[in-house]
Amino acid sequence: MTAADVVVVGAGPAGLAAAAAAARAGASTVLVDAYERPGGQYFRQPASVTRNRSGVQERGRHLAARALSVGVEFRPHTAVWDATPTDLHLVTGGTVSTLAFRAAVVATGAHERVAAFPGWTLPGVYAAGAVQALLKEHDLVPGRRVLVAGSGPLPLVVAAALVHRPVRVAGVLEATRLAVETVRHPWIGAAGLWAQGARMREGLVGTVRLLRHRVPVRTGWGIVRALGDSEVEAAEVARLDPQWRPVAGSERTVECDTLAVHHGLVPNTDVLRLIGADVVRRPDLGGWVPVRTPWLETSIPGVFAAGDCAGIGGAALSLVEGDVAGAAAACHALGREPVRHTARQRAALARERRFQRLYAALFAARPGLTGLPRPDTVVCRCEETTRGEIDAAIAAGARTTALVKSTTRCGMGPCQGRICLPLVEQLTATATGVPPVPVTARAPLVPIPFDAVRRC
Amino acid sequence: MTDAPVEILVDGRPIRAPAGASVAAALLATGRRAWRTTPSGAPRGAFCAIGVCFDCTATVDGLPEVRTCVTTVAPGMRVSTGGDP
Repeated sequence: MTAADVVVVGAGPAGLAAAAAAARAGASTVLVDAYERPGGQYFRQPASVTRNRSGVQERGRHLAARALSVGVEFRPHTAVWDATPTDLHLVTGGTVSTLAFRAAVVATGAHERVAAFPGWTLPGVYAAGAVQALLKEHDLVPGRRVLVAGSGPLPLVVAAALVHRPVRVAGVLEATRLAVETVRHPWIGAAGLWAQGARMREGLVGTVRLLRHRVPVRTGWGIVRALGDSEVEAAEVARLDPQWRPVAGSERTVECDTLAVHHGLVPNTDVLRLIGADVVRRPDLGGWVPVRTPWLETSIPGVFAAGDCAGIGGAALSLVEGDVAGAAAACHALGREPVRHTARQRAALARERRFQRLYAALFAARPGLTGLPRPDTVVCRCEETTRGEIDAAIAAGARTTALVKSTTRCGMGPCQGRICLPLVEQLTATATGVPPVPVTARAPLVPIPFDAVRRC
Repeated sequence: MTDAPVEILVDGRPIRAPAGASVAAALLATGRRAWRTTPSGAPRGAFCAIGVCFDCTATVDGLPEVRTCVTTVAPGMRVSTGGDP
């Protein structure tokens, strides 16, 4: 067993910033990440050593190099399979190990929300982030004619990146009527975009690029069905009402062989819940999020949470949260009083949280998504549980997500419900009127070889 | 480290992939979109591509249910597609 003053879980923007801040404050710091290269999703690095990096990838590489230069020990390909308030149980390849810590910063990021719609299990349907990841890391587009649909900045970013590739972007569908809703929330809009020049420029440049390539961009439209026998051949799309419910009679068919879908992000709180940190349900922040102090400490002393795993806020918020949490974790580990936030940190936190409110007002998941799956639509991709089976379980008296899970097996496959449970939770809560309670996180969080555990 | 291609065996047949590629990227680059069959018989390939969803699993060097999207190709790696063991 090894030990560190501070351990940081996840090497995305928040984790890289946290690890660097903790090491700079004098704490021995270990940074673990499930992937081979640091960067997380936002700073995802190219697999090829000879390929040119984008500006974002270059920034990520600098952040990682800076963290290593101040003494952070980086352990790639290392996932947390179990955790307590004092120890992380890790798996690297097929080998398990235990790492004791005085303080931890959990920066496990988020994963995508993709609503279950008829046909969404067909090959050719991807989470939009998957298309982005394949592009960033492997310079690969998994199709020839791509329809991008969903909500938030990511679909736009993905589509704008695709127009330079040998593919046709069949269209970009944004569920929210952006112009109407920005006018409806003028103060949130103005405050959220205040001092966000880079973000606005990126949005504008992306939109102009799509329009110049004659890509149809529609707001207030969404995907309702993927069509095809053994893979995607077309998509049925429809106009959406303000709650994202398809408007009957507005359906149209779009020819495409690939669908990139993104209905927002869900904070990844697995490690936090395993450790026992209290979480609250905040649909505006993406789902269950940890309760935190101003130093981003959770309800478990010495365990901090930073970045998207504590509420969807994007890379800029993650960087400053990581900075704050890393320094505070070092103080906890070394028995010092926590340092006060600097003026720069305070300003950045305020600015990015204003943007976070605008993002939530425009893009937080709306009730129409739960209406997309039909009785025969698979909701749990692992166990192939259908909407009909889930509805039947609820009708038979399952009043919580956990009960629906144990009666139908939905959410019990290898992904452990990461894809389907946010939807199952919404379906259950809507049908029963009972406020959801968080599903218990259980080890192992990732599959581990049986003999590896027997040895430890 | 160079970018010389790597040869892996997919169901016994050799395919070449760039060094550093994930197994999923290597399969997608050959034009394949599905390489697993669910218990109900439905074809599946990559979906999240970041290691969350477990849709893209295959047996790699004898180890079942390996996520091909987060597994890097290595010379001579044996990948068996098809379905749940």
